[in-house]
Amino acid sequence: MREPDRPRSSPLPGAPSADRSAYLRRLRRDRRLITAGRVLVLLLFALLWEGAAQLGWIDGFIFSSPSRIFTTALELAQSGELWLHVGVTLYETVLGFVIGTALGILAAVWLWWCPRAAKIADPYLVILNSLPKIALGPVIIVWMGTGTAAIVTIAVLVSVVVATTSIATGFFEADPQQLLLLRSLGATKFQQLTMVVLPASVPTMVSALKLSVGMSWVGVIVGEFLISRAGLGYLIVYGGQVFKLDIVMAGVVILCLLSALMYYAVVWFEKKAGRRR
Amino acid sequence: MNPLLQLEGVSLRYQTAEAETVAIERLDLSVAPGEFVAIVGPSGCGKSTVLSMIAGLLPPTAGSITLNGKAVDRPLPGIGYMLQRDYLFEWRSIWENVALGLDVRKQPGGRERAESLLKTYGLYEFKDSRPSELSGGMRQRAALLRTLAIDPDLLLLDEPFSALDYQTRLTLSDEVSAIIRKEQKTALFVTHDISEAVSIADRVVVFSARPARVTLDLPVTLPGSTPLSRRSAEEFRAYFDRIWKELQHHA
Ligand SMILES: Nc1ncnc2c1ncn2[C@@H]1O[C@H](COP(=O)(O)OP(=O)(O)OP(=O)(O)O)[C@@H](O)[C@H]1O
Ligand SMILES: [Mg+2]
Repeated sequence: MREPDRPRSSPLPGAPSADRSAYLRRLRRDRRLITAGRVLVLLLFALLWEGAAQLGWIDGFIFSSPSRIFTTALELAQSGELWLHVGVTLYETVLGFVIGTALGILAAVWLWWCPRAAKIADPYLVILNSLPKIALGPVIIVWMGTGTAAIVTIAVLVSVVVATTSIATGFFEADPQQLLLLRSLGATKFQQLTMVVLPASVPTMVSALKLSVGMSWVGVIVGEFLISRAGLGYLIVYGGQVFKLDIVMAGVVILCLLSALMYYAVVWFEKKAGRRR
Repeated sequence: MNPLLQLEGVSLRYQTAEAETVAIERLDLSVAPGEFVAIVGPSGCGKSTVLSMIAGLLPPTAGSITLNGKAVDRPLPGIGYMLQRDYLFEWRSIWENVALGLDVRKQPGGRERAESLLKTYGLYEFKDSRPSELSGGMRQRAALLRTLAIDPDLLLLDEPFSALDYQTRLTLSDEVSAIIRKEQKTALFVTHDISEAVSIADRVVVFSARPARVTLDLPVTLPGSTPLSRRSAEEFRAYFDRIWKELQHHA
């Protein structure tokens, strides 16, 4: 495996100079300070919140508090309820993301393949892009029923248009001269797609994936708000309805953790893809 | 000898929404097997257009182009096209780049040839490198090997050195001319640089301003086996001046 950003030639054979060690030391110290700062911000925020609730500056019943969130999450976990909701939401999001991205890639390939179709579709894609797809939620429920299918469909709907337009833009930016070179070798259109357009668009596709992940979360949570059977979205709505803000907050915090996790999964994938290129 | 490549009455008009551009008008040109022909002409006169038509990428509006007596109506396997820049694919290693044509044409049999080309012309130790790890000269050399790997009869070179610095240009033109002569290829070479044309080619063809016609077809015989040594030949200056005057006259 190649180092991702290895310099062309290593400029310093042998031991590093004193200047360089000093520089590296400073660099490491800087990194540690930044990490410490980040942790500190989180700690301070939690402490302030907890303190304010304990001292009665804010009403813990309405504003909750870190300790209450923690105990609620623990209770939910022990009763097994939490895992059900997390599982359902995660399943729906991953499914929505995968279907949305796959459809987006297919649609982008189709647009690239038939430039005329791309021109015809262009104004509609622009409109669809600016339309808040969530507004279609109630219609989807009427069509698809009140099950997982409807929620996944909403998630797909929310992510697919952004995925399509950003991936297609990447496809159209493939170097025309590289395509010319390939055609001079007698390449078919399919070979142009697989040998130039797709590999050249890996970076755009990865940034499209990052967008889609976020979009799928939005779609799924909104779907669960509307349908309210299971999942973190349901948990949050339920907590609000029975006026247990601890449950609402616990749901939001867990959602934060999960979406961060999924985002970093995509980043990890990006690093891996980047190394292969 | 029968010509390898023959253009007869070739014309080309570009159509755009705004206007029609007559790029080439009734052009005749023929190249014999083994010849090294350079084309020089004013900027925008249609040199690249002619190469694109010969490469089978652009059908002429009128006239005929034949390679070995066969009409060129699509990219033919006997033709290798080398562009101004190397256009190596960053997502492929040097070896995979050189083998690109073999992959496109599904000719696994050419692998050994490609490998021996890499060995002979000093790129074998870089075969697993990415293009970005090579210098400009080495990249252009890899691009030439990519063109040679498919074993074409005719090489089309469109200003292959113009993106390089002067020194690399001189050494690379020596190398490329040696490689092409050693592999016994026929070459059609477009350049802006009169010295380069005279030093490298057996024949220099001068194009007029657009629409391109042949205004001078000058065989070049100079002592010396490499372009660099030919540059110091006595007659070099005379050839240079002749072409220079021709270009001035039609500019
Ligand atoms: N796709 C195109 N559509 C319309 N006009 C074109 C197109 N390609 C080239 N032309 C025009 O045709 C003429 C010839 O272009 P060409 O690229 O063949 O010239 P060239 O001799 O290679 O120029 P240069 O020396 O700058 O490389 C130019 O005037 C150019 O503007
Ligand atoms: Mg040109």
